[in-house]
Amino acid sequence: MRYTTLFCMISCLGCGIEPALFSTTDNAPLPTLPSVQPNVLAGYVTTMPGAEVHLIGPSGQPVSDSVNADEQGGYTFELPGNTDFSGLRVVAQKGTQQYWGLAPVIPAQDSVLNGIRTVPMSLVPGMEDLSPTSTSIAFIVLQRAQGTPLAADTLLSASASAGEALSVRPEVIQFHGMLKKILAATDLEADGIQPFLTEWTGAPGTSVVNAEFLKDGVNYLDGATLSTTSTAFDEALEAAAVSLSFETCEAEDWIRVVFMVNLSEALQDGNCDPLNPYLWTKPADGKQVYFTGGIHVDTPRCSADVTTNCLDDATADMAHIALGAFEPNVLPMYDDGTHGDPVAGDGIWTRSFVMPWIPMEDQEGVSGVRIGYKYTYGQAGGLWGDAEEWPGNSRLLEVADFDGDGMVFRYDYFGDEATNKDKKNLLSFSNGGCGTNKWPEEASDNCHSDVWENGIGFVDLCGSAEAPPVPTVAPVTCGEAAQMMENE
Amino acid sequence: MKTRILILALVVCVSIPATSSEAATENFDLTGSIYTKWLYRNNDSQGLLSYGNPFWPDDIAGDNGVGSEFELGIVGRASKHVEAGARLKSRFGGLWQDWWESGNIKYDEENTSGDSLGMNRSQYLKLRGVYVRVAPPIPSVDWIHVGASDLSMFNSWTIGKIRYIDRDNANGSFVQGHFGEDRTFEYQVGIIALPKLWVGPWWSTGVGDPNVVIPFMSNDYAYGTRFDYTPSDWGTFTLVSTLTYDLEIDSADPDAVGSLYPNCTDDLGNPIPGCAKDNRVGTFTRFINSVSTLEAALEPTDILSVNLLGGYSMQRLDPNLTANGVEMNDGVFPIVFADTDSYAGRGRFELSDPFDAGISFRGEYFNIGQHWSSIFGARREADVLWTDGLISGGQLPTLNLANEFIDFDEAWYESCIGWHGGTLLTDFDAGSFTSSVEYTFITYNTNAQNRDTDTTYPDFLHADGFTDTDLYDYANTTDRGRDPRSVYRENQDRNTQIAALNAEYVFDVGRGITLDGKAKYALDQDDRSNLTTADDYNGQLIQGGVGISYPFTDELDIRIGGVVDRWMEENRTGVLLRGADGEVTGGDYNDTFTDKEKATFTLRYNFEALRFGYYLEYLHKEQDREVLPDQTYHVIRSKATMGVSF
Repeated sequence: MRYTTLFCMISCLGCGIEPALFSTTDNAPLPTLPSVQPNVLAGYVTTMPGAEVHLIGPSGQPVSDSVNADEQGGYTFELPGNTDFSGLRVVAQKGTQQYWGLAPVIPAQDSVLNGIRTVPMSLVPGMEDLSPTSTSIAFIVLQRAQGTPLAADTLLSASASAGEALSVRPEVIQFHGMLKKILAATDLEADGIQPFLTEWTGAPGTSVVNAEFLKDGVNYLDGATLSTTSTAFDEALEAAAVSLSFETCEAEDWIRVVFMVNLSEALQDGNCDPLNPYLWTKPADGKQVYFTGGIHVDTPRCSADVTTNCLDDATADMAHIALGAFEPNVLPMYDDGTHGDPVAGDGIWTRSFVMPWIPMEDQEGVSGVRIGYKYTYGQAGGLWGDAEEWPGNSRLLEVADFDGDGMVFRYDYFGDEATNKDKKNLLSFSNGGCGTNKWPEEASDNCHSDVWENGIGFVDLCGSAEAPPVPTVAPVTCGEAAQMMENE
Repeated sequence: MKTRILILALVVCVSIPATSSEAATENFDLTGSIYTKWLYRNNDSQGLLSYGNPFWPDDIAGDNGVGSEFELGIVGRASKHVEAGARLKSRFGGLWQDWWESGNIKYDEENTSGDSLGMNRSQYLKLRGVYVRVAPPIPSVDWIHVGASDLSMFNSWTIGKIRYIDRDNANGSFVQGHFGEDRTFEYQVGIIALPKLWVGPWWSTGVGDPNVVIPFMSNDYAYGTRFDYTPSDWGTFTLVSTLTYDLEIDSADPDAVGSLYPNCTDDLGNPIPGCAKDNRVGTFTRFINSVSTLEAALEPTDILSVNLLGGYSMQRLDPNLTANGVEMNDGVFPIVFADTDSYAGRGRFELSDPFDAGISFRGEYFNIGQHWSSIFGARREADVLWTDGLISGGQLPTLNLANEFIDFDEAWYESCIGWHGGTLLTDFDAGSFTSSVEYTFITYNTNAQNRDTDTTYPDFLHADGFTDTDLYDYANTTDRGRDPRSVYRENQDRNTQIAALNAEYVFDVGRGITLDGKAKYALDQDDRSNLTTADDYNGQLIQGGVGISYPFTDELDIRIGGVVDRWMEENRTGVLLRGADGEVTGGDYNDTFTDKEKATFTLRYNFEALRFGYYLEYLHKEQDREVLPDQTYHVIRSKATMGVSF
């Protein structure tokens, strides 16, 4: 018996039976869940069958390919079901005629088991059928919100108020009249210049009217002469917007931070030298780009003595975990046209976060929330090896919204060690590099600082016209801010 | 005095290493061999191997080239009961003309640098055949073998002996033992690491399968057992059971690299119930193939021997982890894409000279199920049936045949899956005259109508016509006939008859002139679709060959021979015609007539440790096709080999 036991042990140990034996201890397999089904936004523009219909995001950029309305004027947009959309507007145009409408807030599907969900434009009062009326309501609400996407409830009440005001409130009636006269100057059949700028967001100091359209004059004031500027129209719109009373919500203390990274070959690094993004990782099937990071130690932290312009421990911890806590290959970035990624398959990967915000932009000597981060190109759950941009070190970002668009948008090239890499930064001395990326207060002419957003108005210092597409995300809504507060 | 001390020291210094060296060599066997091959043909193909890799482009195959290889074998007897061995063998493929190829690939194309062709052409030495063999002091255990093996302890139906070129690439752990003083009961068990290439769907254990995102091949094994029971000297019963087991990682497991759910959240970021990281990765079974045979070898009398073999094969696959290669790879796939169970039976008897007149009789019945699956069975260099078959090399019960990495003069093998029939043989031995006459009738368990060859049964794309193994090409650009693996057709109602005569006579002249001959007739008929006669195939193969050889010296033997083939094939290839609703309306099939003549010259010269062989043939082929242009071949080719072992 002893010998038999010994024989069994010898013959079994290490010889290859183990995989079969070990597999008996496996957990019950998880189901393979389906991908989330899309949301479909559906509406009509019955007076414009065949019109080209655009779906525009809060930044003024398209979030989807345009579609053509059918013979009944019906149109649909298929949107990824895993992405929240707010601040969307629909613009239908045919010839030189153009109608606007406000799309409802479209939350992501709540279960991957759900089928395709259709979200009708009619959820927003006055938007069922695009028309001059829906256009006026859209302009007034956008002007009133000053470019900030509205929460679902606020959007509904604002649109309803604007709709009612079209027939009762003098300021609104006056504006609506001007708009109708401008639209009357358009032609369904003629090619030409559109009257309104689809990229208009409602931001203060901007006009929705296309100056080119008014170049030859349009008599929208019922005056003796043709108007060639939009000044009166803009003032009327402003007055109509101000006359409305609905609450807009600003998500104080929170801000949208968007990271985009370009993983392509033939790019140039911060020194304008050829950039090899695959210096430390190899291209392979099944790999993708991930983000990881955390709250930097130089972020102002609250204490008994410091109670303002700082992060408390709970918020810092939550943000640190949300950023991935420097665990590699866990938080995927997206290049599939979802989650704020504007263009699928262009090699530019996107991920956005709701981050705590210290409003340091107008305060001397105040630092913002500071983030260390880096990108990896690997397999889900994989280790650092054959995945990271470079061994050790990380990138730096200070959450500062100097352009006031409610977002911090950082655009990077994968593997570029001559931009915002914290240590062993390869920016050359002649370009102001000193081997270390400094925070602004430590920087000098001979020791650069590259820690702020650069996405909007991105300028390639090497002369390339390449600029990142604008991410299809909106500033943080109050709902999201409330959710973050709950998470704390 | 000083001089004496110096001399003594010198003697000691010289004698100690001499003694050690002697002791060392006692424990070692060193063997070496050098092999050289010359291959030529009147075409413009360059390389050292007539038929290379049918899938991956290789840089070895070609018809004109000469190259050498060297092998050093080492067997060390570490102690009385412990032995270890290994071989160092150079990679075959470098041409003599390559001269200084270093193994580097610095350029995208071949150039004169010596750094453009890579390791295959640099004749590097590779470690092969590493093993350790122990005879432990454990009762009932004869030995334990760890490492390389040719897997010959099983059989061709289950785990076949590995083909020559891969002979000891297989590695595993094996135990052989016995019970009983007279070894009444013997056993062998083995666990074998599966080759990542060829044992499995897509000819792999996961690599390259479109459904396997992250192949996991390092835990793929085959398990084999063999039990021999010899109750008396009149019979032996042998049970062989094998299991080929391909595991893949559970890609939904959050601990797996590349997991679908690394954060245990779904596409929406919602938590997945039951999902939690625990740092262990689950596995799924991609493919299982279990094959068992029970064989009885009986000798009830001195003149009668009987061999009975029954087999069962089972195949299970997970379509989530195995893409449908029948559908995606044009029917070129080594398994039926389905879970299958099947059987095989073979019965043989031999009456050895019952009339004491030099005449012996043999008979064989075979019945192999249409779903027989043996992914790890013998791929070539074996034969499970006595018949000469349609391809004379051999018949093997697998779709995983390996008619590749061979030269033009080597044997070909055909799949006998689904074969059902019998063979009768009469052997005559009258001293200087020997002959063997065969008659075989085959019908097919694969006969069926409307078989799904689009998504389930691989037809290997080319299923019609006698296979021309003399002028074969994998992609069938030369209309070479049926793929030897093609056993499934959409419509088949087929039977085959084969008659063959082999004879040899030795004239008592000089050292003995040997005259040998072969005649073969095969009638292969397939009604194909039962809804029309327009597609009925009628193939007749007539082959005759004769040769004369003479051993001029003890070392030198020369043979001159010739073979003539006449193939008449009615409705060999074409298409079934269908109406608008898919109904069969007829067939558009064409006849083909093939004439081949081959003249051969063979020389063998064996002198002490030198073995030299030379084979030269002229091959003429005329293929007369009803619609397509006729084809003519005038091929002259030769192969010479020289081997020295020491």
